[in-house]
Amino acid sequence: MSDNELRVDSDSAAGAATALRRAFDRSFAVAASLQAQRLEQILAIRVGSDPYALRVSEIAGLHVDVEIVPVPGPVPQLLGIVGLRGTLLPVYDLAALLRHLPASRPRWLVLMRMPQPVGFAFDTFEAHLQMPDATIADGAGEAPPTAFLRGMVRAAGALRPIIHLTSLVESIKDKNS
Amino acid sequence: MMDNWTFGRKIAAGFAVSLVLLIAIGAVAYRGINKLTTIGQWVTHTHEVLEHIAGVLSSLKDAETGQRGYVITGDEAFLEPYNTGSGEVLNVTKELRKLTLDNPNQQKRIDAAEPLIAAKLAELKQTIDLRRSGNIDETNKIIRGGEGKRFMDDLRRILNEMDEEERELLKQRAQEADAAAGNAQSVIVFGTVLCLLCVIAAGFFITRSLSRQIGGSVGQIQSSSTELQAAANQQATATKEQATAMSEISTTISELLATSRQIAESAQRVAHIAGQTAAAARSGDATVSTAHESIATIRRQVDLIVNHMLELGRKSQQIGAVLDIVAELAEQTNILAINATIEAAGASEAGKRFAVVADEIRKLADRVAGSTKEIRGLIEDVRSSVNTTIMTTEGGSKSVDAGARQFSEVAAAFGEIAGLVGTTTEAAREIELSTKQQSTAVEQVNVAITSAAQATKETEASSGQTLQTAVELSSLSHALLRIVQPQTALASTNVR
Repeated sequence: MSDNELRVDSDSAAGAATALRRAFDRSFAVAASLQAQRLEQILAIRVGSDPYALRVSEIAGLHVDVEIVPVPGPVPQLLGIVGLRGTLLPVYDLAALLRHLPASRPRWLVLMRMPQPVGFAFDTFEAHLQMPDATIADGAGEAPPTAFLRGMVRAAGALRPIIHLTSLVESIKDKNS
Repeated sequence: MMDNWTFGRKIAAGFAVSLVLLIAIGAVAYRGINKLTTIGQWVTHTHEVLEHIAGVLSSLKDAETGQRGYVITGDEAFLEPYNTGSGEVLNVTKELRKLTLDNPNQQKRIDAAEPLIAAKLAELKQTIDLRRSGNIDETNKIIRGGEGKRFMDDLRRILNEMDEEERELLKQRAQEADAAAGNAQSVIVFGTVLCLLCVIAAGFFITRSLSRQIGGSVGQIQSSSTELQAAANQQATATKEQATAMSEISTTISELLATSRQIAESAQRVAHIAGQTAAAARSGDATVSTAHESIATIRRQVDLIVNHMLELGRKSQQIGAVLDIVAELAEQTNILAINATIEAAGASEAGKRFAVVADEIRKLADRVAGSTKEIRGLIEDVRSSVNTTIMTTEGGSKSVDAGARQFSEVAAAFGEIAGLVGTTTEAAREIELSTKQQSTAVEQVNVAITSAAQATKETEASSGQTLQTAVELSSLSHALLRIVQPQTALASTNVR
């Protein structure tokens, strides 16, 4: 690496920091009306090697590197239980539920927003995105591969099926029952 | 046994036997001659005694003759025989007594004769004295009385007895002389014959033995002389060949001498060049030593670079560790922001504003995460560059080490070359010296070879003389064999 390249890189880094600071300040300077347009917050994840998306409205929290204690159960997709904020809750393998090869040790965990929260573990968290509703297809014209997918969104450079966590929970309940 | 005797011993033995016999014969002859001489002396003695016996009687007769003439004639002139005879008879008687001292019988007879002689001489003197006094009658009476005749008769008887005894002795001595002479003759004759026989036998045996031995020796000499002749022929031939070879060797030595001189000159040049090479090698050794020190300095600087690079790598790792913490903080911040957004999504209008803040914090965390990734990439590039630099530097260090070792080897090789060149110089000088000595030695060898060639020529001449001598010796031995053993010599000649 030559001195000129280092100087250019340092100049670009300084410019990026300045741009970041301006963007941060501008975000607080824009009017609230601009924020009023309807946006859908989603999480871009990967299960196995396939991209997926989760609706933030269905999620109660995102955690990483949580220790999962394996316990036996009637559902084979059950990885175990975890303790979060004084509450024990079951964790299921999202890859196994979506008919993918189960990950050896999924790192990420999302909590289902419901009175008795349920955790779903997956391999990779990619991004938290706010997508206008217009960019989200409801999936009426397309046949989803499984019943747990509702709609599609193009985010983070990939077309992502949106996992419907509620359907998954119901399915698990059915299996348990 | 005699075969082992030498010639001198055999001849001496033969002569000794003959000498012993001669001595024996001589001794016997000497003894016989002595005996004969003794006998002769005794015979002479006996004759002398007989003469004295006869002298006694003759002297008395002379005295009686003078007495008778005087008595008859009264002439004094007739007394001369009386005077002579009367004096002589006493002397003769005395001598006779001396001569017969060894014979007691004769001494007794002389004892008996002496009174008769004295009585006769007294009777003669009495008659003469009476005649001189003119008393012729008395004188005739005395004479006629016959006393004088009795005296003479007794004396004759006694003298006859003495004469007979002496003659008997003479006869015995003659017989003894004859016996001794016969013995001596016998001894001399038989001894001479025996001596002759011994001499003949000794001569025969000595001749036969000497002929056999000398013949054998002469035969051997002849054989040896023949072999010597053949050997002399071979020696003469070999000497000629040797002379030729000596000539060739002399020529070769001359060429060798010239070559040695050329080698000496070349060795001198080699020694000079080796000395120059040694000086160049020493200079090269100094240069290599300087280069070796420079390489050692480079090695130390490379080690410093490696240490700095390793330190830079450790700092990069520390930066990476800090960056991991920053990335983790960014990730945790992102997660917190997301969770804040999630919490805000279920809240009221104030929650929405909080969601805006949380979203901005999340974006900021995303940016930090992105910058962290970029920094990690840069750090990885730095670490990669550092690693590459370290590897390159280590390679350079190894190359420097290898170069240092090679320079050490080169320095050692230069030192060894310098030593070897020194050794070569010394060896070249030794070669030069040795070659000069060799040239001198070759010159001496050349001189020696020339002398040897001359000696060979002389040997060749001597070989000819030896051959001639061998031929002469062979002829001489043949002639000697012909003298000693004619048959063998004839057979040998026929064989030839």
